[in-house]
Amino acid sequence: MFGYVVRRLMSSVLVILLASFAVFAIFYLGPSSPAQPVCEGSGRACTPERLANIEKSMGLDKPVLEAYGTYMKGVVVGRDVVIGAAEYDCGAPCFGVSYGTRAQVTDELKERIVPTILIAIGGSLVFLTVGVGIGIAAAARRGTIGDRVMVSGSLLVSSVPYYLLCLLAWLYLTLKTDIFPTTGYFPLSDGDPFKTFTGLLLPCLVLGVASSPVYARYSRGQMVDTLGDDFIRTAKAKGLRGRTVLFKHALRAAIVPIVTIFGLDFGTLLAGTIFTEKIFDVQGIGVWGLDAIRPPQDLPILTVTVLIGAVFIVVSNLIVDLVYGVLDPRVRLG
Amino acid sequence: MSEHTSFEKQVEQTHAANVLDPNAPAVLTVDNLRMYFPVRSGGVVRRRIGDVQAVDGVSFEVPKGGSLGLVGESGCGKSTTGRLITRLYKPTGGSMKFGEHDQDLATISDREMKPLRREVQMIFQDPYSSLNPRHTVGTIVGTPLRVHNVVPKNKTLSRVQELLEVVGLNPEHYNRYPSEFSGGQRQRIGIARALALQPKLMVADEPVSALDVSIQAQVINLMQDLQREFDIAFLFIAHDLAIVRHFCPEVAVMYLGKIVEIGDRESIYSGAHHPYTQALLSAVPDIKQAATGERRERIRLTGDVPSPINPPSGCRFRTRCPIAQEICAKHEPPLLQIGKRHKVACHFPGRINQHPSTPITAGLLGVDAQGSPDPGASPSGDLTDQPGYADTWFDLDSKSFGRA
Amino acid sequence: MSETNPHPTEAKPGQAAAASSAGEPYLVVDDLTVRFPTADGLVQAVSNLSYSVELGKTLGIVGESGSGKSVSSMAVLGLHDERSAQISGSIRVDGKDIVGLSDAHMRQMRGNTVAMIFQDALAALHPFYRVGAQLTEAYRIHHPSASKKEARRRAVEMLDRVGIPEPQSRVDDFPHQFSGGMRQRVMIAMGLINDPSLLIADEPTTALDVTVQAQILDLLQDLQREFNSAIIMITHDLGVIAEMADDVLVMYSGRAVEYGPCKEILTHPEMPYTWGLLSSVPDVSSDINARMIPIPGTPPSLLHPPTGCAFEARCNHSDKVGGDLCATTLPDMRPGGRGQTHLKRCHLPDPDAIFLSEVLPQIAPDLAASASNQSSEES
Repeated sequence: MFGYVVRRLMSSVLVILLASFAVFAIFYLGPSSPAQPVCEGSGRACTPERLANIEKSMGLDKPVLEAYGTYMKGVVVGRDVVIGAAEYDCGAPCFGVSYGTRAQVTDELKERIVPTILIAIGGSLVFLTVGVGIGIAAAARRGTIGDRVMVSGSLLVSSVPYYLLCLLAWLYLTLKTDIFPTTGYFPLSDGDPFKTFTGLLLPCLVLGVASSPVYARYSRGQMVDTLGDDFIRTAKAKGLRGRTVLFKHALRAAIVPIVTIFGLDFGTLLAGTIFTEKIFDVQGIGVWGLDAIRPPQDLPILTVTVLIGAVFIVVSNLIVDLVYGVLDPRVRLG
Repeated sequence: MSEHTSFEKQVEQTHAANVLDPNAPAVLTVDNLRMYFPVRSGGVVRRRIGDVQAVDGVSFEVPKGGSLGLVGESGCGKSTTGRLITRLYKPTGGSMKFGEHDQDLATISDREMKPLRREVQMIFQDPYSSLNPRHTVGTIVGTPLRVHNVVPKNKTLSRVQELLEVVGLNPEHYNRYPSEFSGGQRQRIGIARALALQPKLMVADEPVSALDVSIQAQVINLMQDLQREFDIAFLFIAHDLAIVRHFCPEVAVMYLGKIVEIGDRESIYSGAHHPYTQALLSAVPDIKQAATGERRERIRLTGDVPSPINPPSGCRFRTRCPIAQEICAKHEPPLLQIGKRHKVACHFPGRINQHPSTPITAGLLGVDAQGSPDPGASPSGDLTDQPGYADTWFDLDSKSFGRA
Repeated sequence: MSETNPHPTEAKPGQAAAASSAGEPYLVVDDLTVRFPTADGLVQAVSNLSYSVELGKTLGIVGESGSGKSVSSMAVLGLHDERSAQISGSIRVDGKDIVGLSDAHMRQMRGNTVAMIFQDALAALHPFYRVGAQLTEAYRIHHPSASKKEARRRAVEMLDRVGIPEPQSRVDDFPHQFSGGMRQRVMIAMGLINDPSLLIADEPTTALDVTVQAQILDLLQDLQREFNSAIIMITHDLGVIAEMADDVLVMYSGRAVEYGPCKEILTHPEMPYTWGLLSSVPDVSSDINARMIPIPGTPPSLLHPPTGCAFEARCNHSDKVGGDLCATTLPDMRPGGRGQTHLKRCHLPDPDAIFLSEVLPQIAPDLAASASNQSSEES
């Protein structure tokens, strides 16, 4: 087990390094110079000479590997970032300085990641309870009207485009009525946790409800398969109650693949939920990256949002594999 | 197959056991075949810490147009042996000489193997998972014809229909899917596919064990017919000793990767000399015993087959053997020919309750009865097993080599 | 029974009554019919099935897939889903009819007085729970007052009884850590943990190697002698039947086709399907000149069973019956010429003579010769 974890950690680090290099190289070698927005954004005319000067000051004239080396060194020990004539002291972990706000990217990342994580957790709680709950209930009543209602109901929800669902919820539940208070992220540091909670309540609910059908159908399928397994018949033949058979025997076996896809989904959610954040006005990672990609492009922000997404997905993959080994005693992580 | 066959006609379709042709040349000669699967450690660096010795020094011959049965319990290496011969794995060592040109299937390259794949075909155990459910029967049976360019493209269909007819299926059903057939019919499709390339050797791995008993006989009879009509040799791998007895005039018994006894049907079923063969046979529930009320002599084995990663020293069967002695832990018994077509690997070979009390192999190995080195003895030079049978053998009565 | 029982447990109403009421066998299945409505129509899985088993005796039920042998036994435990199965007739366990009984009542019986062990123990045991947990669960559901410690002790005791070495430590292993034979022993230990009066064994040795199969069959016989339980042994292997059973029930297409004492059925079968079963399996000790005679064709669909004898389409002997009786009229289960205990469902006149003169010479020439010598001596 220990050897396995060490091997997997090493390969995860390798994957993250490769991903970070790919991200860095794509923007660095892209069609337009990363210095272009800086040059244009200064208010003066951007002459080729000025552009070249800015590029030189930012180290963009160096080969890509060297520039990547400088960047990664900054992540580990910090560095001085030079943009044009300005120089910034960027402490470790340094992901650069925003071209637009000229603030350290790391500082903003720390603020932005909190609402994204809260939405991911809140949304997951909703779709795990609602989705998996419906799945189990439908599987237990397989073939009955109740089953059909639950299956077609979840089909109906999943056929509404997500952005439309968000918009409708926002329009009708907060704008036209006062069922939910104004949405948005009100930092915990403001000292009003209740306001933080209510601000994120609707986004979490909408995200959860929208993802529930996938989990309902998947867990229904897993439960139906498991309920047909031989060990379920054995459990019934012991004289156990239906409820014990359903939860202690069937769900215990069916939960393993559900946990697997949940782990991967959760990693993706942590990388930012653009629609949710945009429509409900939550300043998270998703909108941050979205804003950065629009001209004038803010390359350091763009890089860090893509990078953080890659890290979350690699890490959640690792965790899923480890959890699998714990949940299924037949899997030997060796 | 008509559903209303008269009983007389039915008897003509029935089959007595296959008979042995002692003069048939070998189509396959397997010599000292070995297959080790590596076992790796679980640490940070995955070292090779041992091997699963799935097949360890197996030698036998399959005669042209004849059948050799390979029996043994799960994990004895019989299926691995079959897969080695069809080159689903590349063996760790040994040779498998096949056909008129004695090409060695063990060392041949994949490119050279391709034409030989026509001649060595496999029938699988599970008729449900070994056919692609999304392909029609025509595609399944016709694919080998197309891959090997056996018949012109426009003739493929008619050849497929011929093959379906040969295996007793309706030729008009070529565009149906496997799910529309019963288990027995699916196994016929599998046989038609294997037959498409007119192979010289069929490796049949448990071909009937997934079928209902009344269907088993249909499939066995079909294979007997095809064997006679097309002169196909069979390596018949099965755990069902009664069916092997019916189909195979020669049988090899395997235990933990080694052949412990090999011989013609008579030697194995009526004159087994290895305690494992005897235990296997006496474990088969017997209908006749209930009919006549007599009870056969039984050997009951205790415990389970040991792990092939760490097989017992000396004789691998000794941990479960009812007659094991000291020597069995020290020396591996050679597979010794003790009859015209009969070899056994045991220090104390003999019929049930007539096993000798002293090891007959001690002299050959140059040791005393406890297996300790005996300076006075002169060990026989080469006890390595060769495929096939020699003209002289070790006579158990006189305890010397000679011709009976 | 309680005197020989080394594991005394609370007395069960069933056991006390079984000893006193000698009137009826422990299990009586009477005119049992099981149907499953499906999208394609009504599957007639079991039709008009009757049999009985006494304490201390073993009934072997033989048949192929789809013959209804497993379905009928699942009905004895009430394991069919009420929503999907239509069950009629009566199943009397210890004198009490259980057809239509509420699930709560059935649960008290399941795993307690009537237990079942299944084929393929790897699939039948829960892969994620330790065997100890699965055994104690089976014990505690019927012994609510037993503490965890007592239940665990009982689990270890049962593992020891079924011949698992080092039960103290193996009780904490998962099913996949056992070999096939040992896993089947765990399954048997679980089935017997509450001292059932009736044990239903559904193909308990089918997935096992022969030497392990022999161990398991020996074990079941030992345990039966010790606990005097009734056993129903469901199998497709006539050899297992020959070794284990006192009575045999042959099923075909959802119906009983032959029923009687084991030795009688195996030596003087009177139904062509039984002949077919006997002649399509070779025997390790049979005459090498014996022939393997397949039964042609396949069993009929259970959706649309034929109106006459279900075996008629595959039967080689229906021409010996006058007219089209076999095709039009379902024969009753009735005694043939060999006594009241040997029932068969067949129109053939004098089937024993046909068996001895036409079938036996094909499948066992040696036995046929000795049989004809015997009969000539007798006459």
